[in-house]
Amino acid sequence: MRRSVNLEEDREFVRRLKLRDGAAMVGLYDRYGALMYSVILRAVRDSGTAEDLVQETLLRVWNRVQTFDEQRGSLPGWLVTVARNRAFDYLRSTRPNVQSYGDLNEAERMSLCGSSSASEDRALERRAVAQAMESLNPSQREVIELTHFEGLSQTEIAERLNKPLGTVKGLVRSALKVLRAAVGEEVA
Amino acid sequence: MSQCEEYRDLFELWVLSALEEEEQDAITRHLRSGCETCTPRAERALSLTAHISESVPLVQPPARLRRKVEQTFAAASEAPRRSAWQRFAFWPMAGLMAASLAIAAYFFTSDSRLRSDLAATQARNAAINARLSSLATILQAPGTKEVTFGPNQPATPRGSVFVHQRLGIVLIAGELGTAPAGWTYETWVVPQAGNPRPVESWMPDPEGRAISVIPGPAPSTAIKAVAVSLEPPGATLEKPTRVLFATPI
Repeated sequence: MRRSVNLEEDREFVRRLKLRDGAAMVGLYDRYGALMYSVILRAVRDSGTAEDLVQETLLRVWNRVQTFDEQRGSLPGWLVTVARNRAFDYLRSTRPNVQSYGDLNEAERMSLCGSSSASEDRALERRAVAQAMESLNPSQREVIELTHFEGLSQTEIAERLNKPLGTVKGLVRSALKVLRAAVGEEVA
Repeated sequence: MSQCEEYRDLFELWVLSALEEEEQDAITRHLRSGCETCTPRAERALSLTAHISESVPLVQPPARLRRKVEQTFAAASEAPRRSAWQRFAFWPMAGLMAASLAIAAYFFTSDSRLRSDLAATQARNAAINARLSSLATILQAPGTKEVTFGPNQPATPRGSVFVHQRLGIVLIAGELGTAPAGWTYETWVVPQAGNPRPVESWMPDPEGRAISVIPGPAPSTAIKAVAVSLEPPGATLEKPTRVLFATPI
């Protein structure tokens, strides 16, 4: 029941944002600000920078909300993705040896937001993933945190941990297999 | 191994741009090609990575951040607020934009109908141009004979008939009455010998004026008269039904 209420409230937020209602953005921050701040802070490890990047994330959401289809995509999933990308962009801009890779543009990424995350089962999936993260062994959890929270590539992880690239790839692969299984995905 | 199988386990890292440059580019190109196998996998990877990011331990941001957000977006809401002039102009502008959109939508969605309408209009214009050309040619030709009508006629129309044996006939009439519903006007050529021949059906304009043009050689080399009649719906035109006037030539 609570999940349904949240879903409806999220859709109302999006509707108001599309009408350029600034108060809705403050309401959105009240609901998801801590999540966005936590994702960004975990990556950049500096509270001042995290505060700036949360504001940039909200501005990006404000400017891009017209392209967001609230019937298809999950609002928190989108916010977290925008926040994480903003944090990773910042981190990569501070690493001189990291190149800007070929990637889908914003509109193309938005077209991928029609996943099952829009369903009311999303909260259940999120809990299942959190539990699966706890079930990973320390090495698996470490590589997932470095890729997902700090935006490191597998090569960068291998350098930081001083481990062979093949080992890192194996750890990432086995960890993702566990996490995919937690959301009921067919595992190769 | 097919590309799809090769990429199968890489989409989460691709979402995070955590692959090596070459792999990252290759998967991006592959998805842009619209692969129906890999696009759902990329969607699921996007969802899974969002779930993983959401598993981060929550840290409450400082209170000052909320105040900054409030200030930023209060200003964002103020920005679209309109001046008195803009408020005055808003609804006409909105109406104009709506009309523009409706017109654009009409043209966009009715393309085939538009082409059909355009073709019909072009055909009508071509016919009008041909009539005007014939009219000018007949009126200016040296051999054209003009006869006026009106006085001493059973009805009130006034006007002229221009006849050129080779180029055709022009009838210009005014003060034509209103025809009964469904009835039409008909121009007749009355030969020296034989029955009258119907040559053109027409309707006057709302002011009771009309121009009837019958291009080409006159149907009879010896024209006795030009007449105009009113004809009921479905008339066989074997003979005039209600003669309005007949002008001897």
